Amino acid sequence: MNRIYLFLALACLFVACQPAGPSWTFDKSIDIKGIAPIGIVAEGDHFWISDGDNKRLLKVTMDGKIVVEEKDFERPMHIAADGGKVFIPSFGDDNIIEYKDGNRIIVPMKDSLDAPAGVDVQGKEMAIADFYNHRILYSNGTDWLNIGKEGNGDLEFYYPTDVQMVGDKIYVADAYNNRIQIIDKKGGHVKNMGREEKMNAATGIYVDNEDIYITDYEHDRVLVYNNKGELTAEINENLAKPTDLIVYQDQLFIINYKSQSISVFKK
Amino acid sequence: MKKIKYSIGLIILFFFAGINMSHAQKAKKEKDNYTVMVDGLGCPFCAYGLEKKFKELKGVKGVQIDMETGQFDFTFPAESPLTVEEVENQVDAAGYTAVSTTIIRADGTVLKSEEKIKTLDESALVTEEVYVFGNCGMCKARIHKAGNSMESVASVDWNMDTKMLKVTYDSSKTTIGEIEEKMAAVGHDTKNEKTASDVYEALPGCCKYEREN
Repeated sequence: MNRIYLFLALACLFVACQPAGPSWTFDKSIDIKGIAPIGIVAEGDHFWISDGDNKRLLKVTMDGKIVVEEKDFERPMHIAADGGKVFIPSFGDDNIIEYKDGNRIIVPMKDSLDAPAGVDVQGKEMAIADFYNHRILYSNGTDWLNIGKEGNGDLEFYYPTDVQMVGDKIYVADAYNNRIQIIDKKGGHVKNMGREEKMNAATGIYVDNEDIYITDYEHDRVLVYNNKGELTAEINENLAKPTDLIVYQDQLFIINYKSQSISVFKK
Repeated sequence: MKKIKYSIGLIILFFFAGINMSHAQKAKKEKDNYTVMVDGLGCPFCAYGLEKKFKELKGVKGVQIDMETGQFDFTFPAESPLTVEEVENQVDAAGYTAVSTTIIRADGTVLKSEEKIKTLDESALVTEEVYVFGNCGMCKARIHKAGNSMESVASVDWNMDTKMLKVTYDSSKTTIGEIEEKMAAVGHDTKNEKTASDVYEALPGCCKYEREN
């Protein structure tokens, strides 16, 4: 009898130790051969995907068909979409490009960037991951705030690659510190998470109301955390060098640089 | 008559000037082709970063990077040629490891990085394994290059998962201790040898393994 109790106790302990987050089940893989995807956003019934190797911005249907091809971007990275426009961090020539209906405008900056790797735009606000300057730039539409410096402490970054603004916070894929760092829009530090999982290049980030998703490029996985910084799920099925992800229409879309595909998961 | 002579003179002048200009333009347009085999281009951010750092050299054009093979191609104006050493130093400065370099000059001359011939005493060859700290493909490239650069080392193979370096060396010329010293000198701690802090700090971000106290 004691053995049964012991077994039950161990079973409960095992279950309790399992990540208790959103349970995503692999649904399908969308083939996007010929595209080396770095960033993805969704708008209406299509995706916008940046194709870093081929220097393109692509409008792609939900089944992977290219319907718009815009060439000659200088290594477009983690893009953002807002108000019918797409914003492209141009890693190779240090610009943020605003794109709409075939027209391109360079977003004026007061400070010079060195390889912008990620951008998020919401109305007048903009946040930028400034890769080689190891910092985050934030604008409220009027003023620019320069946040962080090179390093691995709080408010220090090491090659940040992606950003997302949620409320008064900015979530950063602090790529080569192998962690997520959360800061506020006044330049204060909020929280770090993910170091325990020993990621190797935390490249792409997505945040919804409850969960924080990060791609772990070298380990072919996506990690999911709650707002407390607790790991709630690890997704490693059918991924090959994931670079970015989004949750859209109750599905999780993860782009794979190596296999040139989009892995789709359902709850 | 004077007018005719004057006109002929001008025509001859323009003719030779035209030839000289076309030579000058041709010289300006001529380009050397460079191919570097680079180890450690693990992710697109690394690859685009290498490209960006090379583009700081004004005149670099036609950059192509194959991440699968690590082949990095570009052209540079023939009038200001880069040496093999300058190219490999620029790769190193960007944080990567140049395995070999081939330059084809505009005039057809081919230059290659030196390949050292090692003379080893086969009867003294020993194979050992030693723990070497590191993280990624770039670490592996650096560790392999450091090992292979030792004249008394026959072969090296570092396992990224186990961190064990399998090394075959001529025991009449070197020791496992010297090999560990070499690893530490390029940024990788072993159980017995520690890297200088400034060397460790200069490693690319993905290579910054967790150090033991």
